[in-house]
Amino acid sequence: MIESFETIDFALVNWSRGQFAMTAFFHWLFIPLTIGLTYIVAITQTFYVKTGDSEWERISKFWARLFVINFAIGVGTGIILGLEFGTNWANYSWIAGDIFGAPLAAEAMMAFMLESTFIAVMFFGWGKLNKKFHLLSVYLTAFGATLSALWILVANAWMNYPVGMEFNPVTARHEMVDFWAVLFSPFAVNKFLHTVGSCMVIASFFVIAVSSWYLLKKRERLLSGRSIVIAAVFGLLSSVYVAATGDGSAYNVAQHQPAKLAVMEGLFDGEENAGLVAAGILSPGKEIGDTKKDFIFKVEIPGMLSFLGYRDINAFVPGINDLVYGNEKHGIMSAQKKMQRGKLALEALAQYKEARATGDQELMEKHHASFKKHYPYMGYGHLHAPEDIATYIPLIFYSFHIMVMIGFALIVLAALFLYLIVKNRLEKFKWLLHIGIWSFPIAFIASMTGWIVAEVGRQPWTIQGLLPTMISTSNISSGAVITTFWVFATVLSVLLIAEIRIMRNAIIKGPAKQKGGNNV
Amino acid sequence: MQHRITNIPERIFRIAAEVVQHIYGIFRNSKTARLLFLILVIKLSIFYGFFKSYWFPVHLEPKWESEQHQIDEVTERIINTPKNNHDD
Repeated sequence: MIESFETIDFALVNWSRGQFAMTAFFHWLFIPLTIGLTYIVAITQTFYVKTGDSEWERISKFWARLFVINFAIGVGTGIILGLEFGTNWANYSWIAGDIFGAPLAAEAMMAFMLESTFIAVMFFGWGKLNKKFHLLSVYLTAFGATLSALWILVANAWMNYPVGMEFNPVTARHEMVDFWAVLFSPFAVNKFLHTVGSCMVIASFFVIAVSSWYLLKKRERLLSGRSIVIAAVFGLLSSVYVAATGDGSAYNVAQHQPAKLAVMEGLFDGEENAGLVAAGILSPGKEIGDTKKDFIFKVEIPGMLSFLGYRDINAFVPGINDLVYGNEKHGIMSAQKKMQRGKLALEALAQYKEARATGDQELMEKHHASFKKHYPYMGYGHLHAPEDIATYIPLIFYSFHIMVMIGFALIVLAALFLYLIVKNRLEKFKWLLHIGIWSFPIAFIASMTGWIVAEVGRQPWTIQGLLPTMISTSNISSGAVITTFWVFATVLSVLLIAEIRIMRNAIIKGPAKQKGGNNV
Repeated sequence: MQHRITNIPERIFRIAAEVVQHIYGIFRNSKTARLLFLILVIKLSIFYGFFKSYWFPVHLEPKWESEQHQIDEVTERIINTPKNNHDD
């Protein structure tokens, strides 16, 4: 019999979540340029090495300078996140540490070593090293930055699709049994490709934004023109690539996180030949299980959701109500049944622990077998109500659709910029140059809303189906978390203001007039 | 042959000195480089020097007497359903 004995401090849970979200938000303001801009520097530097045209080197150095500013100020913002796992999420860290720690360790050893070594070669070796070796150092910096993204995204993907591990009831933690399953899980592969692609999109539109500003000011026309060509091609290819990998994401989510997909689409009642909502407004105050209309209005692409989720235009896509209350016809277990099985798993674990304490081997094996049978629903045993499996519906629905709309708009924008710059007509369209300037923060909004879909959409879980967020926190005071929340917010805001000011000054000052010399 | 061998440390030292001088020259001539380096030093001092070395271990580190204590506490939280498992 499981006894209730403690209360959860939801102030602690919510402030811990808020702190992680806030620090991750600030961290993500710097990372896309760190990853994406190195590729643009590498491409422009490649043109210099191939053609010997010193203007390409001047262009390369200018973007490298902006990269340095972003890197110097942004590096280390991820340290806080790493520390937070231990301080604010100690329960999660213990339960998942054997799997979570490995990618983070790999990130530090491989990626940071590679990135930090070749960044130094890149910055300090300009004009001093053999051209081809220097170019190689730029590519290795880009590779290092990408590699560090790989490992952290593998760790994050595991939270959404936990594989390659077994739960050890003696130590109360998951233990990795298959590293390759974790590394090459479809979630990890797709998340990595999609996220790195988004960094390239953001960097491309950063270059377009700065170059557009120069063109409006009638400055640096050759630098801007060439940069826009590079960035528009890079941006167009990466935007299309992000859309394609987004399709992969939707497929994975449909297979393994059907509640998240239903929330993303505001799909309350499942359908065959389910349409994809292109645009829509949810009915305010709509609750799970009520009879209110789902939408005030919506525009759908018929059959598209079934195709995206199941590669079959006639496939049944479960809605929120199906997943919460069950659907016998389509073999969908209700959340209530999962909660019952989860409670059986927790009870079996408690009885296993008691049997182990008394040394009763037979009982231990019996309860261990029962635990293993109901283990996939372990996390559900903690939920208060079946409706808890689908939360924050308006936030996730609107975030998803904002991300998709902006994503497709950026494809059109990149194509337009490319066409007009190649035809040498871009400067005539001043309104488009103004849009180009705004495309950079708008690209960031798409990226941030994507993270909201991924991370808030995973709630109520820290580990999908196995560990709810509310029991993942540390046993510390909420006051300590609130204090550090505001300390971090202040420090990170100061860094952000410094970045914006230094970056702005560097852009206003423009690239170096002289050829050769250092790049800072 | 001996002449070449004894020259190697001298050559390495000379190359290292050139690299250091080169880097020093960059910082000497660029205000931006100095500013970024200063921000880097201050920031890493705050993160590693203050937060990681003092604040987190002293004020935020969960306190367990041993690994078994941690296992027992985590197991208790997993096994037992709290009275309030819903944020009202």
